[in-house]
Amino acid sequence: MSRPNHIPSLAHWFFRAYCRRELYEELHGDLEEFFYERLEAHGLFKAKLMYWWDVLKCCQPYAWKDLERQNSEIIMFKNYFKTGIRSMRRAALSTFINISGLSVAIGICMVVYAFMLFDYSIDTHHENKDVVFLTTSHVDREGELHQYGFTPGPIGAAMVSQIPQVIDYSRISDRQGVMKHGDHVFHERIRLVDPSFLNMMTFPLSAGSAKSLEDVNSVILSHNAAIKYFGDTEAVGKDILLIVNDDVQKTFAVAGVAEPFPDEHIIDFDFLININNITLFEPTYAENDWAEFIDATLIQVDQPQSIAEVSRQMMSFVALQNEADNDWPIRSFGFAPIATLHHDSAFIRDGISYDGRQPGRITLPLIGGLMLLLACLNYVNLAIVLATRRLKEIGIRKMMGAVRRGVIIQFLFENLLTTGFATLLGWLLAWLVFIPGFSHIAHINYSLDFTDPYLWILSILIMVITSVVSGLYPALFISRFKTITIFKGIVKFKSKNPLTRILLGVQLILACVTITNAITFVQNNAYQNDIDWGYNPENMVYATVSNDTDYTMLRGAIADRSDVLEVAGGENHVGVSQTKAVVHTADRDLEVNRLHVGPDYLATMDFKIREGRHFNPGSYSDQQGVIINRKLADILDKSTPIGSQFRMDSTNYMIVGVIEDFHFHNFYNEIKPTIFTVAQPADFRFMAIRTAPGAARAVMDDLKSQWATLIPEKPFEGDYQTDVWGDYFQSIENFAFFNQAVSFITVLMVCLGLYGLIVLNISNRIRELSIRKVLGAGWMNMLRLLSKQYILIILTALIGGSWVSYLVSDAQLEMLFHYRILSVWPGVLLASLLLVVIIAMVFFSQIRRIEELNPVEGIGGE
Amino acid sequence: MGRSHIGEFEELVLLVVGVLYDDAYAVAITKEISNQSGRSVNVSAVHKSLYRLEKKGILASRLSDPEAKRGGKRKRLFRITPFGKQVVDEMMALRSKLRAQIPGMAFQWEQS
Repeated sequence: MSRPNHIPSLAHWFFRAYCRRELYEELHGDLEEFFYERLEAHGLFKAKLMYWWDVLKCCQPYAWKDLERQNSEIIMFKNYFKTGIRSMRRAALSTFINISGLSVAIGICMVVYAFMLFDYSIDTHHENKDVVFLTTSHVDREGELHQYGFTPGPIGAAMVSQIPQVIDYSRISDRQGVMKHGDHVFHERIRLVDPSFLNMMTFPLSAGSAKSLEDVNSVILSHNAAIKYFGDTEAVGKDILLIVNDDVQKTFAVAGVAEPFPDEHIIDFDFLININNITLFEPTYAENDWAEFIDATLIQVDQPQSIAEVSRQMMSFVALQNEADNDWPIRSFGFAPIATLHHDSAFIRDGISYDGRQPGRITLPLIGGLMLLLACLNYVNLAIVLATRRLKEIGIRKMMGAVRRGVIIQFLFENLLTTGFATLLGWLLAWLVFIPGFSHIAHINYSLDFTDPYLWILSILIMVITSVVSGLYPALFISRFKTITIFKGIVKFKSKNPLTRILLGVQLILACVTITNAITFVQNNAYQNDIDWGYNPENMVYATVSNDTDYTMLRGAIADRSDVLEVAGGENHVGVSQTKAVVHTADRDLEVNRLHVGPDYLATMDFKIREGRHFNPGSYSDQQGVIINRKLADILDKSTPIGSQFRMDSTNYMIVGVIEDFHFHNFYNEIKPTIFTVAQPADFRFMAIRTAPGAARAVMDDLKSQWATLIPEKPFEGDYQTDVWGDYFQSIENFAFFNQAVSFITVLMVCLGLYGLIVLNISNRIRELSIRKVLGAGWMNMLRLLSKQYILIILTALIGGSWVSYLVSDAQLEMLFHYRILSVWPGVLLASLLLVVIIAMVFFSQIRRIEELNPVEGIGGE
Repeated sequence: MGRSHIGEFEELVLLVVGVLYDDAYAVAITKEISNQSGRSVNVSAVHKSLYRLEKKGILASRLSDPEAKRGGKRKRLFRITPFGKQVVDEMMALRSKLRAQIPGMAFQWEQS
């Protein structure tokens, strides 16, 4: 029966779904007659609408299908459930493989969901997130248009007064300063804002009032800052001293403390003070000068759509700015809403937000998908092989009158059962293992909220999609057999389905890639742990000083210790501070990094001299002398650079020595050409201390306590030299661990799949194998027999996998590090070898089983 | 009244089936009721009454030939059974009897 023209198909379908077969003709005939009449009289739309209405009105008991008939379908599902559970129990092994693989994959998907949810919740707790925008400026730099987060200082006020849609603004300026309360003295980030900041952004206060920001003598603290300075005691009402550049001091009264910020935030503050305090930091700051920039300008518009209109009215400000500042002409202004600022911030330079989660956003969903894919491939493979055992069941069902659709539904339903179990297990896994583990690695508290409707929708979606993807092919495949051929026993049904082998190949390639990744990462970490830094960071501590008096005092207090071997000073310090300089040689200008250090500094740090000499120790005679690193020597390309001269800041310098290259930054970064010049003690801002082996901790403790008594008004700033790269080593360690975990799970899933395939194969051919055994076949023979159909695909997959692994691992290292293991081939080879061993183990475990099998049992039959 | 009890709308349908005689099927009945009584009627209500009346033995039905205007589908034509006629007659008789028993006084209202 072809569907009548124009009749809404959905409504028609619905009608057919509820209408009794024997009434369909007359009832729908009536509806159609009405429909066509109305089509003539009122047009298509109204006819359709009224048809819908009729269909809904007719949905009454007199037209319904027999309840008994419906019952029979429910009963059928009950039977499917029963046979499903039975066949799951009968094929316990493949059920286990399927459920464990799927649950791990689903668990990982839950982790990915938690990650993405966190990512999209960042800075979305602000009530005005859709109407508050960060103003950005587009500037043309060397032919490229860049977007910057800073804006001319007066623009916010100008926009509020000239554009009616802009109802409020707040400038933000971030400054460094020292905060002091009693014994608590620390360097801090001070955020200067307009009082409207706390109205535009949602930062509820646990004490005090947001209004107090209008007072230039008030400060609002974050929850953490309040605890840091005042502990458990009430902070509001207390005084705190701000020291800027050692000489400017101002006392602020704590007027408010913020509630703890939510985990999902990037924009925050430690100390919030009125923007008019900006002159403390920069006495010459001119509020109304269009050439002065401010770190950020937030504006609030009346409704989200207004921003387009606001953008159109910005050109007059562009003109104002260009007139004031020729060096930095802004082309246009842009706006980024707070709600999505975190995601936009990759394209905004020097903004108040940042985005360090992009790699995770790309790789994690990929990994989740990969795991699901692997689990589905396992399922498809096993289901095809398992089908042989259920041929008779299918034959009988078909004979009893089941149509092909019935068989397909039956298998899909069984599949849904499996994925249902797997989803439950996956949730458990995610909740108990994966999410806590991942949070631990990432140092962020991820969580699953089981009341989140999207989580449920996602779970159900994954469940349904996985069961259809993994079950559809096996179901179609199985239901295709004809009853008669099944019972005649002439089904040409071997487990040699080419699809099985292709899928196995794909799995092996994926496994190879993940193992190689894990191995190369571990190798690379070991390599980086052993890279020579170019100097000796062990047994070395450093501290920041603010002037030479402090330096001399501190040196006097510490130098007498027997475990302090050498002390040296410098204006800069390796790993912490350097400046840029331009070197003019006869033929070219080179941009180099410059470290201005005391004459003993290089020797104290154990830099290795390659040519020439160190600065003359203890004297400041090498005023015109310079020591360069090897990188610069290579660039200068002189047979002997010693003695050659260049000009810098209109002074002539002579190269007295060349040191081996050293790593100022961690291994993500390339070594840059660098020079060392001699600094006077008056310039010293750092103190580097070489201690006796193992004494670094003791010296550090002493240094801190000496500091506290000698210079109590300033915070101590210093660290072990081995820690100058922060948590770099920890982060690559975590990276390696993550890769290992992924590869472990992948390999486990692939192995389980392969294992299942072989086991099923053996049990399908158990009689043949038993007879062969009786006739004297040895294990070699068995192995050949069993591996024959897989050996080609395994070899192809290994070769292809090695190649793909090489490309992937190499690209990943190249993307991440500048200093990395040169070749990933050892890793690739090791990975392939490992895979071969694992595959061999799977095969041999099964050969052993056959060896131990009593042939009588095998031949005896079921 | 027992088995022959029928509702007001059913009664209407039953009468219209009689009126239409050889062409009494749901669509025609629906239109006829709409035209004659002036109230808007949905075809589903007519269906429901027709099937109920058939079950009670008041109507009988047969299928017509297929017709193009209804997408090549046949329609179910209804006709009143002898029993149905009896029910109609009894019903009408009852009504007229009761109407006749209303005293003239009942229709006299004070003018105000």
